[in-house]
Amino acid sequence: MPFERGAAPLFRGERWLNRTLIGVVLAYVGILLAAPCAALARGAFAGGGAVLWRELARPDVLSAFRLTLALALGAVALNTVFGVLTAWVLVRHSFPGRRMLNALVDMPFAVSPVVAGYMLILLFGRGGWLAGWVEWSGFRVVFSWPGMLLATVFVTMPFVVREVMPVLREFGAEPEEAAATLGAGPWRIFWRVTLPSVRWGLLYGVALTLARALGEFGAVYVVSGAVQGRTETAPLFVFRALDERLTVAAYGVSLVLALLSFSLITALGAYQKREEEKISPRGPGAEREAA
Amino acid sequence: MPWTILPGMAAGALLSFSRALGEFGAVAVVAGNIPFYTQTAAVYVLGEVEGGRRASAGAMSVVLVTVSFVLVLAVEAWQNRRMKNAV
Repeated sequence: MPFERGAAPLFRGERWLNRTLIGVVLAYVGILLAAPCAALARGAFAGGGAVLWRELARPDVLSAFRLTLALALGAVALNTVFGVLTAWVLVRHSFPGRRMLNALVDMPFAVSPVVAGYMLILLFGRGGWLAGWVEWSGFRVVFSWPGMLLATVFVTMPFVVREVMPVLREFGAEPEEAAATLGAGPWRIFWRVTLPSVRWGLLYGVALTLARALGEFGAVYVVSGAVQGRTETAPLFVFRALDERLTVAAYGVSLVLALLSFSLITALGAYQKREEEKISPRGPGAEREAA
Repeated sequence: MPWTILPGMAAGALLSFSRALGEFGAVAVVAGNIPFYTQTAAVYVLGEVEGGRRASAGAMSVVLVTVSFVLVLAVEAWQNRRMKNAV
C-alpha cells in the first residue's frame, strides 16, 4: 500500500537506539530476503550470460512460461471482476452470513495450497461431487488447465477484495447516492464513480494477484500432476529442474519470476507516486512534513 | 492507550501462523521429505495424495483446514469487536 514519507524518528536524541533498530530491521530483511535473491542471481549467472540465455530458451521452459502467464492473466481477469463485486457486496450491503463470507475470503491465505489443490481433486476428480458434471461437459478439470486455473484463482482470491474493501469503505456511499439522485443509472455510477475511486486499491490488488499467481506452486502442483510440456508451469519447472540437477535453468527461471513480480510492484509504486505528485506537487507527505 | 497496535499485531500473528502451518513449496525444496524428520503436515498431505491414500490425505487436510478456519474466524471476530468499540 502507499508508502509513508517524512516520518519522524521515534526517540529524539537517542541516536544509537534509532540506529540499532534500523540496523536490526536491515539485517533481518537482508538475511531473509536480499541474500537469497543475490544467491539466486549468482546461481543463474554461474555459467555466464550465454549459458543462462540458452537454458531459458529451452522448449520446456518457454512452454512453462507461456502456461504460467496464461494462468496468471486468467486469474487476474476472474478475480478482478469477482473481487470488486465481492468487496462491493461486503461493504455496501448487510445480509445474513455477511460476517461469515468476510471471514471465508481470508481462507485462501490461511489454507495450505496443497490442501487447496486436494480439495479441487476431491471436488472434480473421480468420484467427486462435481465429477458427473465434468464428464457431461467434456471438460477435464483435474490434471488439466481448468483445474490449474481454479487453483490459481483460489490462492489469489483475497488480494483484490482486501485491497478494494478499505477504499470503498473510506469513500463511503454518498458519492454513489449523489450520482443516483442526479439521475445516473447503476452501470454509469459504477464506471464513473465507484471504479475511479477504488482504482488504486484495485491496481494493487491486481498487481499482488499477478505476482502471487506467477509463483503459485503447491495448489497447482497437486491439481496438475505436473505433466512435462503440458501442465508444467514455471514454478513446477523449477521444482523438476532442481530435482534433475538442471541448476542454471532452475535458477534462471526463478530469477525471471522474481524479477517479474518485483518490477510489477515497484513500477506500480513509482506510478502511484508520480500520480500523487501531480495532485500535490510536494508529494503525499508534504502536509505532514509541514506540520 | 499503549496497546493501539496490539490487535493488528495479533491479527498479523494469527495469519502468519496459519500461513506457516500450511507452507509447502519452500519447505519441500529446502528440506526434502524425510518422514519423522523434515516432513511437515503439508508435505505429508502431498505424499498421501500422490500415493492415492485418500483417507490419510483427507484426515490431515481436515485438521489443517479446521485450524486455519478457526484462526481466521478468531481474527474476524476480534476485528469486529474492535470496530464496535471504536464507534
